[in-house]
Order: sequence, then C-alpha cells, then structure tokens
Amino acid sequence: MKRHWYGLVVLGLLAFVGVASASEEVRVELQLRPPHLDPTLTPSATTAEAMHLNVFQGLTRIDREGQVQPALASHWRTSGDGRQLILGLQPDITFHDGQPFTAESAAFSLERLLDPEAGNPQRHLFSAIERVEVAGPYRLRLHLSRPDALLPFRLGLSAAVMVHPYSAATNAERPVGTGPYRVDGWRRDELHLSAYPGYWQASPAISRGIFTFTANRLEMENALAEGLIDLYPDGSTLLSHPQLSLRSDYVMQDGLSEGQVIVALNHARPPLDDLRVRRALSHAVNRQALLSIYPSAEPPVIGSHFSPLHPAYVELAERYPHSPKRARELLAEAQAEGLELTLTLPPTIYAERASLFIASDLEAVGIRVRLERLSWQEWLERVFTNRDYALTLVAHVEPFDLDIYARDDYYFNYRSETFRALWERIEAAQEESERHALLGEAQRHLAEEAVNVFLFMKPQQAIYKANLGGVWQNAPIPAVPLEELYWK
Amino acid sequence: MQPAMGLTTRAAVLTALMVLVAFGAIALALSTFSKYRDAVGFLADRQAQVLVTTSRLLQQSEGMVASTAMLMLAEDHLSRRQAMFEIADRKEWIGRLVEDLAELRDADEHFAPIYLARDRLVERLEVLDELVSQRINLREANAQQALPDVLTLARLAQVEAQIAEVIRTTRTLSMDLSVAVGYHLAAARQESQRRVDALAEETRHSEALLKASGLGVLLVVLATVAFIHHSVVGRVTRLEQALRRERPLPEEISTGGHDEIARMARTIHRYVDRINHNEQRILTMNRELDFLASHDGLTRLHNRRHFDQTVTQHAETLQAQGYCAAMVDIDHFKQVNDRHGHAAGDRVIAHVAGLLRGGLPDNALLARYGGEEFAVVLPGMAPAAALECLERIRRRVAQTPLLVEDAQIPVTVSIGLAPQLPSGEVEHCLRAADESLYRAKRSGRNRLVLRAQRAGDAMGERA
Repeated sequence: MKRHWYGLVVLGLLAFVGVASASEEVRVELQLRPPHLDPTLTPSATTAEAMHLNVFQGLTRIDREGQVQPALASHWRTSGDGRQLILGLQPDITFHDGQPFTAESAAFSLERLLDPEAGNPQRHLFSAIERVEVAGPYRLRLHLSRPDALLPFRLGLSAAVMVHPYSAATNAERPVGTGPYRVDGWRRDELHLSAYPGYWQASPAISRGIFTFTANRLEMENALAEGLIDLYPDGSTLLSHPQLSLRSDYVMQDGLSEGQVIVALNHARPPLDDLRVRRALSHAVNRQALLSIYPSAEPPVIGSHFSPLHPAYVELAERYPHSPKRARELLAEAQAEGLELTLTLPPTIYAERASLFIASDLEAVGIRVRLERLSWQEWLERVFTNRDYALTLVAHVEPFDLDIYARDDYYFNYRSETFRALWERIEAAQEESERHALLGEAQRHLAEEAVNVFLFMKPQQAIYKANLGGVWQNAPIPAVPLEELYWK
Repeated sequence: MQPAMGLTTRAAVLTALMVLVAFGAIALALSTFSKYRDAVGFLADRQAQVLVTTSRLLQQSEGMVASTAMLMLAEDHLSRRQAMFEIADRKEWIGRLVEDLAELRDADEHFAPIYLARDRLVERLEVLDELVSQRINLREANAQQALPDVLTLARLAQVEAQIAEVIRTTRTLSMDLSVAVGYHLAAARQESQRRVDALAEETRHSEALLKASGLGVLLVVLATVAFIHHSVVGRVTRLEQALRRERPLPEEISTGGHDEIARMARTIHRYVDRINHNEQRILTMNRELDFLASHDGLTRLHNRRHFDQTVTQHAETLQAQGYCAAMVDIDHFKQVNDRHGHAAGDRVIAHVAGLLRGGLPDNALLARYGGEEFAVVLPGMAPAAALECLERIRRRVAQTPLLVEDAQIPVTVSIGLAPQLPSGEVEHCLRAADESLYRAKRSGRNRLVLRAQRAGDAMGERA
C-alpha cells in the first residue's frame, strides 16, 4: 500500500502545482472571433490582437507609447541616401517548431509580405522595399525605391511579423512564430496559448493565456458580471459600464486607440457617389450626441481619417456641423429625397450602439434606414472583401493608414487621382515639414470629398481585474501583449 | 526432481498469491480513486456546466420579458431598435445555450419546445416592433400637427389595441419558454443528484471490495504463516524430537511427502536404519562371543570352565539336594581320528554330545570336559536312577553308529559314575567318577562302572 500513498502524495503535489499555476493564467476577451490566426493574411485586427507580440514577432516592435523598439532586429540604420535599411538580427532565436530564425527566414518573411500573390492586406505599406538582401547570417539589407522614414515603424506592425518557410503555409491554422507564447489550440470557442519554453527573452509572468471571443453583448456582459474575464481591452461601450465601474474587483482604464470610427460609404453604390449626398450624410450625423454611447469617455471627434495624436493632424471636426436642415437641402439638391439605405454592422458593441444614433439621425433627415447585423466572418466576407454594402460602421485601428484612400482595391470603392498623386508625394517627401504639410492637405482632401462620415477616435477603455498589472493604456497598434501582464 | 511441488515452489506460489492479492487491492483502490476522480470531475465540470447553462438559459428566457417591456415602452426608434437588438442577442444566445445544453446532455428530443417557444415569441416581438414603430411615427405625426387629427388618433388607438393583444400573446409565449427551459433545469438538477447517488453507491461498493481485499491479504498472510509452521517448523521440530532420543526409531521419522524436508527425512531415516542394523549385528556378535566363552564350539555344550564355575556356584544347593557325578569318554577315539580324519572325529564328538544331551534330564549339568571326555552332574538323582539313565545312554551310543561318507563308524563310550561322597564336595565326587571311568576303560571299555562307597570316603581322602 506504500506505493499507493506515494501516488497520493504525488497527486497532492500535482494538485498544488495546478493551483499554483492556475493563478498565472489570464483570460482575455476580444469579442470578434478571428477568421484565422495568420496576421499576415487578414485585415481583421482581432487576429493581430491575439497573435501579434504573443505568438508572432516582427523585426521591430511598437511599444505601449507607440514608439519603435528593437525586437528580432537588435539594431538598424539607414544608409546616407536613405535608400537602404540595414538591420542586425538577434542570433540564437528559434521558432516554436525549433527552426532557427536567421536572415534567410527574415528575408523569406519580407519577400512573402511583398509578394502580391501571397495576399498580405498591408502589402502597400511596404511598397518602398525594392529588394531584400541577405547580407550575413544575421544581417539583412533592404534596398528601397525611395527613402521611407516610417519603415522601421511599419516593420513593427502585425502584417510584417516573421514567419518560417516551413510553417508559413499553415500559420492560419497552426501558427508558428518566435514569440513568448505558442498556440495550444482551440477548445470550444477559446484559443489557448502557453508560454514557449525556448523563448529567447525572459520567461513571461503569465504562463497561460486564454482568448475568448464573445460577440453577443449580453453574453459578454454576463461573463464580466460573473468575473470570468480577466481583461477586455475594449469595454468602453458596454451597457453595464456604470455597474462594472463600481465594482472593486475590476478596473476601468481610459485610453485611446489609433482607431478612427467611421461610417464607411460604398462609392460604387449610387447615390453615394454623389458628393452632395455624402456631405448630407456628414451633416446629418450628430457626432457629439453619438458620444453618449461612451458613459465615461470623451473621445475626440474627427473630421478626417487621421489621429489627433499625430503631429500632422489638422482639426476638421467642424467641417460638417450637425445640421439636419443643411442635410435635407443637400439631399434635395441631389434629388435623393426618400432615400433608403442599409447600415450593415459588424458585431462590435460600439458599432451596434452607434448605429442606433446614426439610424435616428439619418431618419431625421428623411432617409429610411435598415440596420443589418452580421457576424464578423460575414462582415469580412461581404463588406470588406466583396464590397456588397451601402453603409457600414467600423473602426480602422491600423495606425497611420491614410494610404487606404489611395488604393483602388479597398472596400470603399473610392477612386481619386488627386489623392493618389498626393499620397505619392507624401511617400516621397524627404522633409518632415513637407510631409506634414502634405498630410494636412490629404486630410483636408478627404474631408472636402466627404469620402466617409468620420466620427471619432475609438476610445480604448480596458476593463480588467484589479490585481492584473501591465495592461496597455492606449492601443497604438492592435495588440494585447500577454508578456507584459502579471498578477499583483 | 519430483514432479510434485517443492517447498520453494509452494513458498513462491504463496508469495505470488500474496503479491497478487495485494496488487489486486492496490489496483482496486486506484481504480476506485480514478472512478471517483472521473465522477467528481464530471460533476464539477460537465454537470456544473449543464447547471450554469440551464441557469443562463432561464435567465435569458426571463430576460425576454424585460426586453419585451423595453420594446413596448419605446418612445422613439432608438429605444425600439435597442430593444430589438437586445431581443436578437437573447434569441441568438438562447440558441447557442440550447446547442451547448444538447451537447452536454447527449439528448435532443426535448429541446424542440424551447426553439419553438423562442421562435414564436420572437416572431410576435417582430410584430410588436412593427406596431411600436407605427405608434412612434403616429405620435410624431400627431405632435407635429397644431390640432389633433381624428384619423391619426383613431389609427393610434387601433395600433395600441393591437399592441395590447400582441403583449398578451407574448406573455403566454414567454411563460411557455420559461417552462420549457425550467424543465431542463429541473432535469439537470435531477441528473446531478443521480450522479451523486450513483457515485456514493459505487464508492460504498468499492469500500466493501477494498475491505474484502484487505481481509484476503490477511488470510493469505495467515495461510503463509500456517503453511510455514506446518510444513517447515512442525516437521523439523518432530524430526529433531525423533533424533533427540538415545536410540532414534526409524518408524518415528515421518518420511511422507515429496518436498525438500521429506527428502531430508528419508535420508535421515535411511541413516538411522543403517545405524540400528549395525548395532544389532554388533550385539549378535557379542552374544556369540559370550556363548563361546562358556560353551564348546563344536558340541554347543558348556565348556569345562563354565561347568566348574556352575558347580562351584551351586555347590551348596547340590550338596543339600544330593547328586551324582559321571565322567564319559569316547572309546578308541584316537583310532577314529587316525582312520577317518579329524573332521570325522569332530563329528563323532558332536554325535555323542547330542546323544548325551538328549538322554540326560533337563536339570543335568553337562560339559565337554576334555578332548573326547564329558562331565555330568545329575542334581537330586539317586545313584540307582543315575546308573539306569547313563546305562541307557551308553547302550544308545553303542547302538547308534555314525554314518560318515557311506561308512558306519561304531561308537562306544565308557562311563564312570560316582554318587555324592560324604565330604559332599562335587570336586571329590567328579574325581571319584574319573577313577571309575578309568576302571571301566581297564575293564574292556563300553561299560559303566559305579564307584562303591568306601570307609575312607568320610574323611574325604583320595579314592
């Protein structure tokens, strides 16, 4: 029987260890279930939130203040003429499958990023890169078609994470990166991550991360009420926000994201191709009243697709003051009275809440509105990919993504030679002052064209357990780095 | 080696049995713990999930009532849409909760009423949404007019009536939904209880089995001890006791069985047997030596030394009861030896000794006294009777020739007989008988001469 007691003792110890390790687990709610897990192949920010900086890492990383920091590249410099970016890579790093990270795999990742066939939705951000050269086992030289001061920042975006040739093709289902966590897999609708023992930096305090994706607002509020969620980075629009802010076990944190919340218009759908109609929509919406969806935040109202945090920001919020009268006049001018529009919504709480106000505002100027709710997958497919919509309400969380208005293939269906030329000049601009001036021009152009109805900067009110430390206050990029979290 | 089980084998079998029973008990205990763990895990995990899911389901189905109230009370489209969003969220979540429940409870036959009640309720709520929307529009239209419009008011009253009707049906449908969900909550509770009961029962069963196993181990241990005591200690002790005797008896050494102790016992048995046999032989030899010390080897009669000792020992008795003494000598014995050889001579001596032995009474003392000479003392016998007895023997000898290798050897004896002398001493009497023998030889042999009483006999002088 002695052996048996040993067994019991071992079981007891295991149970103890189990209890001990359970406290190093964190449950993060992200609301939108990612279409897949490869951040280089989807515009869905929720994939980046779960994967970037946790499973995948880039050559550089953007920190919580939005600053560029070394990551897989320990240092870099730009050549005198600005036409080369030379990066020195960290040695002795392995992917989760044991494959080494070298200049070869980095070059593969960047070439894949630049390959139009590979389908990286952010490929255009890296269009300055002409050629990738392996200059040594841990040395990479990027040959640029033009100087690009933003390139180190962009290399820190989720679209530019490093992958390995062996695993790149299956990253969507079985992601293999160099980050502090590896993916254990899906259990029901939860994504489980655990600390990678071979991580090249210090082991993180949190050993297990569980991402949950609860689209249903009631269900999520219920989960929060039951204390099942340790961190929800975007609790701003919760109806139960006031109740939750009274709880001592949860902390609400005010912050801003780089996300512009807009009513995106499909320019290919008449009469949205009519500038008067678009301006009527901009006048119809009462942005200030809309902000009541945030019980405890006052995000800045915007008049263009640009962050007020950026030094080149131009104040355009009052370009289209709330005026139902002016809106009706413009609609009458465009002979678009009795207009009927469908507002297609992704399943985010801010979109649903804001849509109620937008619908009332549009109805107030005589537009009949139908609200259509879609799942995230449906939204990505129908709206983003197939551009089968009239109006949609969404936040563009990618930082500094003004270039999307220069793209023909973007879901707005907005085509402007003027803007494209402007953007080319912005990219070629060497001087910062020149760049900023051009960026200001670009903002004004988008506002004048009323390309979309620009609403406000999306607040990032993280709600998390009071004893959880290390949560990002702002969200300069969509990411929830578990590595930086710890239990107090 | 014997085909039967040896001590080692039996000990090994018992040990194996003990180990087997012990391991069986351990395995049983482990399996009980494992079952217990599984059952507790199931209860904690799955049943808890079922209970949580059904509770949430109940909460959401009851929440439908709140959402209905919110919709009914909506004063503008924003509130109305918000209510409808909430209703859609509840509908979607109820659907998923039911799916979860169906998966958790491995059953689907009873879930249809929930879906049905939910869908009918939502259907009615959509109708309500449309009516509320109309009401909002009519109220707004009314508010914009300076004077109340009769038609609008009539339409409004009609819509209000329809809303009241829909509300009544939604109330019933909400109840149906709650009842359908409540059924599963109760079922889940019952299932939990059943699981707990089954677990308790199984634990009790395992407990009894474990106790029995413990008892089994104890019995096997006792059996082992008894076996060792009986088969080893007991037998070795008995063997030791048997061997401790001064003269161990082979029949006391138990040699039954086929094991190592039995083989050892048989070896000891054979050894003891051999020792006893040898001892018997030594005793026989000793008896033979004793016999030869007092007897004559050829005739098996007493020898002269023994005869003299006996006579001396019993002298008083003889004198008291009276006796006669006689000396017998084979006639012409030298010639027999010379003619027929010493072997034939020996046979003649043995032949005469046999006839003497046969002819004398049982209490007569008889010994081979010299080469072919015999001494006889006849206690309590009168000279006349002695004479008659000895004369009969003499005649018998003379009439019984010895047959040696087809040749008849005639044998005769001369006898000198003397009665008890007045001195009473046997030695004197024998000497007197010897004198008579001498006379008999001188008188022609094959005769008996009785010594006559003389005057000097009383003084005990030489006759």
